[in-house]
Amino acid sequence: MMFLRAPRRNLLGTQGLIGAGILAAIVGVALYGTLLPDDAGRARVAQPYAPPGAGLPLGADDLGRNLLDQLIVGAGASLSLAFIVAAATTVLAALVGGAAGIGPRWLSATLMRGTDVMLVLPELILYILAAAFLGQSFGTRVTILALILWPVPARVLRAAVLTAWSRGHLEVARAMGAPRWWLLLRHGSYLIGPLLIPVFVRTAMRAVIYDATLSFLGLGDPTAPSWGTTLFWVQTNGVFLSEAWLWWALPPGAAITLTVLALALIGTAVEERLNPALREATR
Amino acid sequence: MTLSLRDLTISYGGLTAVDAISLDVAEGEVVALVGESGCGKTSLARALLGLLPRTASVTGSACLGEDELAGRTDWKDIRGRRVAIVPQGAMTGLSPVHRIGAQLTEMLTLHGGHAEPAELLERVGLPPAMLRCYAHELSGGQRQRVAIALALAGEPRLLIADEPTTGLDAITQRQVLALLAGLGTTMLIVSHDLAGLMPYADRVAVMYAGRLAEVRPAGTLAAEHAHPYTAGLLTATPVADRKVPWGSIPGSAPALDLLPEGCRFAPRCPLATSLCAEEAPQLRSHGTAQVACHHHDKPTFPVVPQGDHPLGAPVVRVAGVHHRYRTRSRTVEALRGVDLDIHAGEIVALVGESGSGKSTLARIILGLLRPSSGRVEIAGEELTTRRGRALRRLQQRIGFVHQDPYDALHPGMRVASLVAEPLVTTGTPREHRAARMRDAVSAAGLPVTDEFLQRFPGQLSGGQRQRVSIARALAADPILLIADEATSMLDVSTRAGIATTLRTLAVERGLAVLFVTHDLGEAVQSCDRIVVLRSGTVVEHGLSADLASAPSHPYTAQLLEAAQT
Repeated sequence: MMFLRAPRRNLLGTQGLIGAGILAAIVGVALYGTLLPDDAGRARVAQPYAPPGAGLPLGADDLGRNLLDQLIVGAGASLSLAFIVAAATTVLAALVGGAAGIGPRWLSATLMRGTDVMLVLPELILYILAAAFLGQSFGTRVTILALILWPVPARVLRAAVLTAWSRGHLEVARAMGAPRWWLLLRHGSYLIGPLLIPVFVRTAMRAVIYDATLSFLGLGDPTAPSWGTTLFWVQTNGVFLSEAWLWWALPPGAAITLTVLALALIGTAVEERLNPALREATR
Repeated sequence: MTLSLRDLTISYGGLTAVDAISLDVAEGEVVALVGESGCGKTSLARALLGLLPRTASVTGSACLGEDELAGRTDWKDIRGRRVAIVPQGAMTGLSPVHRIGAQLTEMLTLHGGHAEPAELLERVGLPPAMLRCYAHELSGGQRQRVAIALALAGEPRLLIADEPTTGLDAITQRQVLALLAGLGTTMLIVSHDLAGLMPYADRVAVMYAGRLAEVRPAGTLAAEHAHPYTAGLLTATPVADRKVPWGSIPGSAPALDLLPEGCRFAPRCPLATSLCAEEAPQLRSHGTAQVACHHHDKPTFPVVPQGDHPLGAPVVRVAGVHHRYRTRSRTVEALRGVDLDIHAGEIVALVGESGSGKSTLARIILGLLRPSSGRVEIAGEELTTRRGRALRRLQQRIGFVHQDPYDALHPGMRVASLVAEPLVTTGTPREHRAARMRDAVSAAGLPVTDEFLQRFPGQLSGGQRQRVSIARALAADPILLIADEATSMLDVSTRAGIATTLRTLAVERGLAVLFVTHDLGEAVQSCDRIVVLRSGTVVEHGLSADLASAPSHPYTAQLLEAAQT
């Protein structure tokens, strides 16, 4: 019978392991990118529009810059932005959701109406406008993305806090006069903590897409190599009319797709195992 | 024979849940299949409906007329038309977005029934006007009746009722069972409540650990039962009469991978000899009945002691407590002026049906809820006006045993740290904690071995979990213990054991205990005084013995009647 086994959690499953594998490979590439010289992907190393050849596995762009270096350096730019944004958003969402869940009623109402307003705003347009007016530095983009992405997870986490607060062991702990910090650290964290993982992964996924979109539209920093920027130059140069799309446009596109896919695989796998409602449905 | 089972065996990945059961149900007969949780009765019922998970394998035969049900894959025209189910928990069994009439019509179309929806409702004792109602507009009992009507839509030859009275009040339970028994349909009722079913079933089949222990006509069961497990189940059901002893079966039902050799009940049986451990008894004829036991004596089970009501100093004094729940559209008066005293060393029962306000009162005494008006004094100190640290210091003198043993223990904490939790929050010095934790664990009737203290709640049985809850409530040396429906989710065989532990604690530690329950029988058996609550008012209070023999309020008399089976 069930009660003979100690609780053990298998967080990922096959699907999640595949995702984690892909992500690990991309992180490896990004780490390799930090070892490259500072001007990798920016310096002029070949003839403009050079096709793939010795020393240039993916050829060069219209300014003779190494496309492979751009891809590798771009991985670091994308992932670091994604993870910083995800961390900031998760913290922000946990604070807002937690305060709305256990705080007094007026605070909860204020925070949730604010969240609703944020949810109504078209986030992509907001993001593009903000980037266009506030500048494209790394810090600005992180801040804007974190401020745009917090409302959905905040709502999810508030619901989780409310459910957790009505659980039996929390009620017993409250009845025996345990202080609030004890409830939160000993009981709340166990129930809510696991939900932060899918929030983190999903936010990272959206951050990768949004950042690439911005760079593709030419609102990123055109001199800093990133996957979106490479695609922006692809678009400006009309690369799709020549056969160069194969080594110029396809690799950054595939890189974005793979990263998002890996994060999505991890996200759904973790969520299926941690979210009680989904766990019930897939049984 | 309408239904005949021959050597029906169900196993999950090599573990046998139902072991070679042979049972017949005659045309028009109502057979009750009774046993504790984990005995295989639900697996058996599901096998007859083809609702087992894919991991289960079924061998043997189960014939419903000419149709073989065991191992069938094509259930079209069988489910609903030949065999139908009355599901457990009518709260969730009905669609919340369709009217009752539409749900009945759907069932009739699906299963080709010829009745009118209104006729079906009439058969289950509901007015035709309810066709236009939604599920949330009906009471629990009415919903269960609708569920029965839905099962009747396909005019099945066999009706299977899976715990049809779970979650209903005692009085409603009897009405639903009487309705089922009066339908005249061949029926298999699966339940854990042996005593409750006896007046309504024709025959009772008692099941233990996958095997039949005893099959006997219900009319003669109370007087002539021959299997020790049947005797145990009967004595474990509290009767609202202090002269009938309330006993418990020690231990708990074995897990599927730890089934004992020989008679499976032997490890818990007071009559067990070495023969029982070696040879499994066959189901043999025994007058009008069939019994699987080597013995013919009457067993004796441990009985809950009854206190002689020693009056200590008052610990709790509740005076004139009112409580209102406000929502946007309406106000609910949960408590309308309740007074209650509890003295040291006595167990007071707070009895009432769901919605009577008993849980609200318990939460007010625990300091979890602030009453709209009224006073609550714990050991002479006012509770209701306190806030923050002062409130918490008073709360630390009250122990709380939660209703749900599966939710009340943090799943990631081990027994030792669960029980020590109140010691940590009250700031007991670290060097005293281990000793006091062990003290509380043994006072709650649990083993104080290192292996046990290192277990997680997931490795404990329901009864053990509830004892861990009690140990945790005791650890900080409270003066008052509040047990909120502490036994309601446990198997009937373990309830009396918990009640015995509470009595020992009240006598030995001079603990005041408030025992909140919906079961008047349990209250009469294990408590010194009883307070009956109905829609927020105390309708009757008095000593258990007096109240049981001469109730003064008609509502109490009604509850007593429901508890006196």
